Amino acid sequence: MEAALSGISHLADPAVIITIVLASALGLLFGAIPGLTATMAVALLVPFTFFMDPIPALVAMVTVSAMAIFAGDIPAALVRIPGTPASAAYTDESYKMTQRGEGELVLGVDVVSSAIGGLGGAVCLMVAASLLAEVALQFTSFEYFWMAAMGLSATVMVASESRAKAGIAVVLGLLFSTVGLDITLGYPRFTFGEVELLNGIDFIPAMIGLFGVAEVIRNILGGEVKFKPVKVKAENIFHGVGRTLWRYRGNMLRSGILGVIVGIMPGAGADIAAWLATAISRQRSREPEKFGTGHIEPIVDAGTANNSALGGAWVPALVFGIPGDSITAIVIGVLFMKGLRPGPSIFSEHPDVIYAVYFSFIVANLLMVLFGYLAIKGSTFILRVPRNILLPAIVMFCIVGAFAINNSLFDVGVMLAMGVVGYYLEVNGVPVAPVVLGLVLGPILEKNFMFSMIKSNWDLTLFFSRPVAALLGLITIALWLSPIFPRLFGRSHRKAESA
Amino acid sequence: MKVSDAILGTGAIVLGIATFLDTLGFPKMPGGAPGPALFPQILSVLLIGLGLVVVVQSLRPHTAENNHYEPVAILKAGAVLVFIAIYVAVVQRLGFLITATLIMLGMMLMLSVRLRVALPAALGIALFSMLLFERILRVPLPPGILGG
Repeated sequence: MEAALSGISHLADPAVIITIVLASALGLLFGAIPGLTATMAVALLVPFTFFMDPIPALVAMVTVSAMAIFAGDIPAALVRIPGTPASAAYTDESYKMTQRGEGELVLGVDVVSSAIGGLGGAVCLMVAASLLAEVALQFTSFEYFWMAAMGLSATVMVASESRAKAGIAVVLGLLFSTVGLDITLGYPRFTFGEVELLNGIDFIPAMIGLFGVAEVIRNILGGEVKFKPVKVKAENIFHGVGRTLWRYRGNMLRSGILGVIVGIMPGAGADIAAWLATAISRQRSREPEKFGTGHIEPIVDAGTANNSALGGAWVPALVFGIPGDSITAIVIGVLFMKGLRPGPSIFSEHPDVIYAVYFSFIVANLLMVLFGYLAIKGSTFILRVPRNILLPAIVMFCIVGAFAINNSLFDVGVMLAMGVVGYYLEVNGVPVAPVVLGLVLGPILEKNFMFSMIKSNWDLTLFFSRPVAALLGLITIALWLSPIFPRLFGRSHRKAESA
Repeated sequence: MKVSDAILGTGAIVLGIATFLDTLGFPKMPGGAPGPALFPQILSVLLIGLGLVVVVQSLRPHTAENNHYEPVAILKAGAVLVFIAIYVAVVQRLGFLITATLIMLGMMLMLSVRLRVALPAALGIALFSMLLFERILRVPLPPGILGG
């Protein structure tokens, strides 16, 4: 209780309030400008968090991500381009409604369903994280090894284009994490004689390279985007929202829970939550014929799900140190930078930090209704921000940000190298986010693997000797086998058909 | 056949082999158990395997070359990396303000912003980041020939 009060009192600090306001503005801007994503906004925030206390730093990251995921809905409705990938699932639906003159309702539903989804996600985060932290205290290196392996495998399995390519991305990230002194003998691996690499590839510049520079590159690869916003009066965006949301209250509950579950799954975040929520919405709808014509139902569903996924993603991040999405992958890096080790012990050692995260989710989502309204009002202005000036400016902030952590040009070089990796992968249709996940989870995976091996005297069966470890292990192996078995199934099925 | 994927897969295989060969020189744990080499070796085997899958998939006859990016866009995107490399190479000599303004100006012109907009914008953003990082966050940015 004391910790809860101290968590709240942290949020009342004027410096934290200013942080929340600035972070909201940054999140809304990055979310609303097509091509700039929530992950990018959080990555660019990292150099600043270096100079902040842990709590304002975490509050800023929570606020930026929540605001950005909502704001992605604005250009979806106005210019038919999702502001962030999390709004892609229902972009057509929202735009069609705007064209029909129902833009006010769409934007109103967007902001309120996002806020409610985010609040629901926050509540689930509080309950699930506290419960799981108790369980996680019993975990040994075997369970941690399987948790990390499962997270990485899930990342590969949810890859949209090619699982083999996503697998390469994960292994590449893991390989980067092995650079530097190894944990068993302190032997320098893959350092090529560079003293600066002995401590490994610094996570922060690497991430700025992969999420900042590579995202700018993705924008430029996409070519010039020209759009003319549809005018929406946005005078009374809340008119009729209450009635609509009450009508679909069951949908919101379902999609909110779905979002949290997808968020908790490592590797899957707000965008996948939105796609799944839309698909289930169509399946379960009483009026499936209206889907695709500009129907509010999937907007309610996906708008709720993508914001609740954000809270869900923090559950494994805080409890196990395993990120639920790419945003929390960055958060884990920042926690380490602040000397806070995510894991069950953080709940007893730094409860005020945990409560501050919980409360900042609630504050950010409540403020979202007000700030979101203002952002919608100013949307014509935001959409006119010239991207061709913004992108070079972002590159500059990436450079200075990477430099600022250690005042070292070597780090800018690391960022550049990762930018090159990101560029090559991006051009060849390989997802970049799994590289970061591999980089974050690599040390956890290797440490727990080696500890387990040494502890068990190289007896692999002990990886399955504890019930929870066995369950996690079986799930992981099932994930590995899943691409093989359905295919065998599919082939025999096809053969039977042709016969 | 998709050439770019075949190259990607081959690259993964080559990287996997190179990593594996490099790990052969790593020391073993006392008692002869594998130590620092084990984890990278597992990764290199995975990398080779996944590379093979990508190569095999790229050889399928119906996978056409569908590079959906314009060649000009690919060049421009690559140029961003060159600009960053230029920054790293000259910032100590020219200092932050000049280097930052120049590379942003270069990128803006590349993205077809007109000079009379790009120049003040680049200079303004460079000054703003200097103020933010040097004055407020106290990051010592290289002063270069402007002295400091």
